[in-house]
Amino acid sequence: MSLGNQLLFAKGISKRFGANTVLDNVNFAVEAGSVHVLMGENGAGKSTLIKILSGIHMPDAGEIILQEECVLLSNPRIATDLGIRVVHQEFSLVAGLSVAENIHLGNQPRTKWGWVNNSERTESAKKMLDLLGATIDPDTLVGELTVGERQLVEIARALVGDAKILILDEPTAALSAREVDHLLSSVDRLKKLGVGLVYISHRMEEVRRVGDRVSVLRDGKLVLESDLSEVEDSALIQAMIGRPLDQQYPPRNFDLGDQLLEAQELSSPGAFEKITFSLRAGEVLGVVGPTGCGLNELGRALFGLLPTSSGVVRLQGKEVSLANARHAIHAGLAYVPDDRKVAGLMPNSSVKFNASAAILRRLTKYGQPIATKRENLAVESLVKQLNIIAPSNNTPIRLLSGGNQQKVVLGRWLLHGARAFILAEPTRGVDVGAKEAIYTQINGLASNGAGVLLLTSDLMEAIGMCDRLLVMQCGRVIAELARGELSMPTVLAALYTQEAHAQPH
Amino acid sequence: MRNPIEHMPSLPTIVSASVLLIAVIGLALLEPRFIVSQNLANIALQAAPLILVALAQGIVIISGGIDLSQGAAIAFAGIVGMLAALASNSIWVGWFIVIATGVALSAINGALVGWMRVPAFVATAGMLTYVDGASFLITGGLPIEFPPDGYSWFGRAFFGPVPVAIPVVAIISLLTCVLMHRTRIGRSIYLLGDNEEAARIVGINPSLCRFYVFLIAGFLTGCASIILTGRIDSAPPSLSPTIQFEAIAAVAIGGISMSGGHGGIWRAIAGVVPVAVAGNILNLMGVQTGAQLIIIGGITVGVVALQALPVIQLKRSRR
Repeated sequence: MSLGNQLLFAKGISKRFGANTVLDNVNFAVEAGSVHVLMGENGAGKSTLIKILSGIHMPDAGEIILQEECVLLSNPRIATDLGIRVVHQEFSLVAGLSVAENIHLGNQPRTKWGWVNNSERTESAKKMLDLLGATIDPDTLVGELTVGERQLVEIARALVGDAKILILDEPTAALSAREVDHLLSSVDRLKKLGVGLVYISHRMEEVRRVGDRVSVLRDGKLVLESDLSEVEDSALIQAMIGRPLDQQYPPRNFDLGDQLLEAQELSSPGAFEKITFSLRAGEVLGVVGPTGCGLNELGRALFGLLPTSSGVVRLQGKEVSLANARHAIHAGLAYVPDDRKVAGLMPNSSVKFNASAAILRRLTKYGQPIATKRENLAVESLVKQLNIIAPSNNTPIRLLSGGNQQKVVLGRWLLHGARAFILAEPTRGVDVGAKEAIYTQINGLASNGAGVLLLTSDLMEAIGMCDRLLVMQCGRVIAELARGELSMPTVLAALYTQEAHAQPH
Repeated sequence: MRNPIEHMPSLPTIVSASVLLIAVIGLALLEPRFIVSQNLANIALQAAPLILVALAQGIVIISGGIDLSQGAAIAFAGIVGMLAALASNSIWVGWFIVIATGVALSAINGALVGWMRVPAFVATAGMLTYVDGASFLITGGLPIEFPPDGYSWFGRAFFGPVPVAIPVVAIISLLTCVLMHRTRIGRSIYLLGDNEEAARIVGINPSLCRFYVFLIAGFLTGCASIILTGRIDSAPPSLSPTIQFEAIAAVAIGGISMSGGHGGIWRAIAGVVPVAVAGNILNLMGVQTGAQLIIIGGITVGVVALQALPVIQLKRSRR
């Protein structure tokens, strides 16, 4: 590593949130014309590191050296002005504005009279898109673009002005194989132009294709840094999870009972098509797929939250109405939504109110007072069972850690005593300890004869937890893997090699 | 580990409550006529209908909505009810029609907000306008007067020194508290106001729940209308055109979250007290109406700002 090439060096970065150490003495360097891959599990500290590099958070310790000068990135504006640009996972484009307007959002070129200079804006936008080798008309409305094109516009936007360092946070999460290909060649072009790139991805294949160096974070510590050519896939995975797979996921016996939940040719326009599966009592059936493949929509539809156009769902042989969630609950289904903040929690309500929300009907007859004593007892026993850490059961749930919040969201269905559990990303944004508690509960449910449908984008989790695995792609199930076939290579193969066939182009 | 934020709501409440208390005591010392029992009864009678309206507004706000149509609905229900009482010569029919009209108007709001997904702000502002128009059309701008004997009992009668309205409002208030804090519908309203999506997932039907919210609110405003028309023994088309804003002020002063989902419903009652007391004292002191409005508006905004203050400071210090 020649020092002359080094654009940025983050030295000894530490960051704590409350009692949680999120980053612990991490070093991270970015070189010009090189791609530094950052890997690690959810919650390993990747996003915190990026937020520090982009001025959203200040580190508690350590310094950031940009082109041999120590800089203080106290707000995002400063980082942007210094040429550190981030393309975040979530799209932030305005669909109703043109590509050129979006690229210059908040930074419109002006004429000397202060009006927006349209021709200069279009020209500059075109220049940015050319850098990426993208052939998108700057006057198109963003709303008319494909997801892949939007991602390129996001990147083009980050290049406006003098971009020295470009951080791409899982840029391919929502893209199809062809779009990924296009994006990766854009990354190559930027590399040749001397931009220093930080690339975050879980996808080994991409990482191998664009990456030069790799750093792996685990529990806030830098556990591996190496040239990519000198490290095996298995070593990377090992570094990320820190222990062999079978230790992370508690063991369970796999005695299967009768048919519990089955879906037949279930379709929802624009989300998924002709999904058929059956889940047996005592089984954990995983469904994996890339973002946008219809995974979370499937979960919502099964629980009556998303309209379906055709198909039947049966629970223990009886057809379940998909008209609304109340019918699903009544039939014996439970649902943990993929986005806890949006759909899982009543944030200002207490732990108790959140936990008992699904059993109110049982605690009262219509119009009559709620049986408070029974409610308290039920919630107290749940808090004990799941080891939910909260100052009190009357604490607003927003004040709990993500893991404890998620335990409550899952726990409310344990109180309800559902038969089949639809869990969408049950461990997203949850710390390691809570993860284990949730896995233990899932196993407990299965061994008590419930069925679990585990919708997840975490492949490790799917392999570690499931009896069987369905692989979804573009709204369809494209593969089914039995327990014996579950390993990282087979799952990745099912996910990505078949994608080429799923795409007609 | 104690979390400082958890105890936040109580601190601003204490601060604003003590500031109000000091202000009120100060004013009472300035104006000795304040503590005369007849005056206290007078305040209570003045505050009684506002308490009902504030309870109604509180429930709507907790559910995540707002009701701007209360004043117009109260006037209209009062007019229709008094006409019905005159036509049937029965005070019972009259009272029933007032409540029924209040519930029906509010049900329209509830249906619009619940099923048609019209924002509460728009639906109830529309209601305010056209119900106001209807009142003026029916009455020709003049009050309906001379109801049958006994019709104005809730607004004018006394049990000894105590106006009838006081125990009536007390009982309704108590029932409302029980409804909101001890029943499933009350709990559902809180959960819905906190996060509609999450409420849907635990089996609450948001549309139906919002409809119920407005039915309850309509009942309470109907009751308020009976007391208000009774107090003046007539039903004018502009009975209390701004009472919804006083009610919103009371809800805010009491400390119910304006974004819905939390804050005990008793806070709506607590919020009425300073508004009513300050108004009364200013009256006794002979402060003119314009100045009174300025002072009461100032108190409202001041108290709410005071409640937000510690939270803002806390956020700053955490950065």
